[in-house]
Amino acid sequence: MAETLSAQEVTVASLPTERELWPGSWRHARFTVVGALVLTGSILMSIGLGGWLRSGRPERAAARWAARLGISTPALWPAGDAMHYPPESAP
Amino acid sequence: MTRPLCWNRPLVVWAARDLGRHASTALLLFISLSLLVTLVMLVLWFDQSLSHACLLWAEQAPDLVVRRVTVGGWAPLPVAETLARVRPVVGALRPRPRVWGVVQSPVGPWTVVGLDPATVSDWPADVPLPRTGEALVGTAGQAFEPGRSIRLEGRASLTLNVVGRLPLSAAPVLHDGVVLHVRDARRVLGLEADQATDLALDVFHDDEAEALRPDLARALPWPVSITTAGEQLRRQLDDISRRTGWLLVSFAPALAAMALVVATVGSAGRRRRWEMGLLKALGWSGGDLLRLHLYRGLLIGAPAVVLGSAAAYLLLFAPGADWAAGFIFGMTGRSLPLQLSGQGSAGGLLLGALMVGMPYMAALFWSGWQAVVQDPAECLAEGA
Repeated sequence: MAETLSAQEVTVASLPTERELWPGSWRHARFTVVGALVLTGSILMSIGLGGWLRSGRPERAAARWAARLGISTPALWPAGDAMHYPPESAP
Repeated sequence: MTRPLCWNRPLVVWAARDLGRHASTALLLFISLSLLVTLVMLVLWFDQSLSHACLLWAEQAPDLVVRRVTVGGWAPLPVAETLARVRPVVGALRPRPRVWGVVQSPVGPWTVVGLDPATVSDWPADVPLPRTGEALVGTAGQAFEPGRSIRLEGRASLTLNVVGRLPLSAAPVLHDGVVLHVRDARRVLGLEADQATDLALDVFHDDEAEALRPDLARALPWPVSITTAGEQLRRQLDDISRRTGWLLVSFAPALAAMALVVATVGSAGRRRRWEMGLLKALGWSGGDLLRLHLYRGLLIGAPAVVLGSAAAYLLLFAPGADWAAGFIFGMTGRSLPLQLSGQGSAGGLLLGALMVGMPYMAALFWSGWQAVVQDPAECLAEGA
C-alpha cells in the first residue's frame, strides 16, 4: 500500500538530496537562520542586561543633587526659560 | 511526522535560502526597517525615560514654592516675616527660603543658586562647598578651570574665584548655572540680607499640597503665587510630550518610508504568486505556504526591529544623550551631558516595536494570505 506523505514530509525527505545538489546554498541558508536568531537574542539580552545593571542609577544620582540644591526644575530647559518659574513671577 | 505549528526547521531554512535568492531586496528591506525603528524608538524611548526621570527628580523637589508677586511681577520675599507667618500653618513642613535667579555669565545666561553652608546636608566630600567669594560652576562652565575667576552680571557685578565644577551626575539639575555662597548670591541678584527669591515647603502627603494653598495665601499679607510640585511636574511633562510629539511629526517622511516598506512587502507577495501556485500544485498545504511567507518576513523583520532598537538604545543611554538637550530643548552653548538609564521606558520600547512591527506583520500576513487562498491554476496563469 502506497504511503501518502505531506508536503512538509516531502520537504524534509528531500533535504539530503537538496543539500547534495546545492551544498553552498543550504549552508548559507542555515547560517542566515542561526545568525538571525543569535543576533536577535544576543541584542535583546544585552539591552535587558544593560538596562538592569544601570536601572535608574544616573537618575537617582541627579535626584540627590536636586535635593541638595533645592531646585524644582531640571536643567533640560536653559537658564532663564519660563519653565523654571511661573511666567508672572520671574526673579 | 508531526512538526510544531510555529517552528518548522526545514521551512525556515527554505525561507532563508529563498531570501538569499533576492539578497539585495532583502538587505534593502532590512536596512529600511532598522532605520525606521531607530527613529521611532529614539523619540518614544526618550520621551518615556525623560518623563520618568523628571518624576524621580520632582520627588526630591520642594512640595510647594511660595513667591511674592506685585503688579510689576515677582518681588523679593522678606525671610524673617515670611517664616514667622508660615511656621504656624498646620501641615507646612520645613519652610526654607531659597535664593536663586538668572544672571549673565561670560558664556550666556546662567542660573545662580545660593547655598548657606550652615543648612546644607549630605554634601559630597569631593565637591567643594563654595564660601564667600567662591563659585562652583555647573557642567556648562568647563572653560572655567578651578583657580580662575569668573565675572557674573546681575543687579550687581561680582567677580568670584572658581573653586570647582559640579560633577556630571549633577548636570541634569544644574548645567548652565553656578553655586555661590548665599551672601554672594544675594549680592549679585540685588537682594537685601533678609530677602529671598522664594520660599520652599514640604508637606507630609502629596495631596496636602493643594489643600494647603489657601491657608498659606491667607497667612501672608501680600499677594503670592503658590506652585505645587505636581503642577510643576505636569508643566514639565507636557512640554516634553509637546517637543517629542513635534519631533515625531517631523519624522513624517519616515512614516512615508514605512508605507513604502509595507507596499514593497505586499508587491513581493504578489510577485511570488506563481511560485506559490507551483508549490501548491506540488501538494503543499496553505498553512505551509503561509508559514514559509511569514518566516521569510520574520527573518528580516525580527532582527531589523531588534537592531534598530539597539541603535536607539546606544544613541540614548550609552554613553549618554548629550545631543538631546540642544536638539530637543534648544539649549545653546555646551551640550548638557544627559545620562539616563532608560528605567521606566519599557512602554516606549513596546510601543515603538508595535508601531513599526504591526503594519509590517499585517502587510506580510495579508500578502501571504492572498497568495494562499488563490487557486493554484490562477497563480500559475498570472505568472506565465
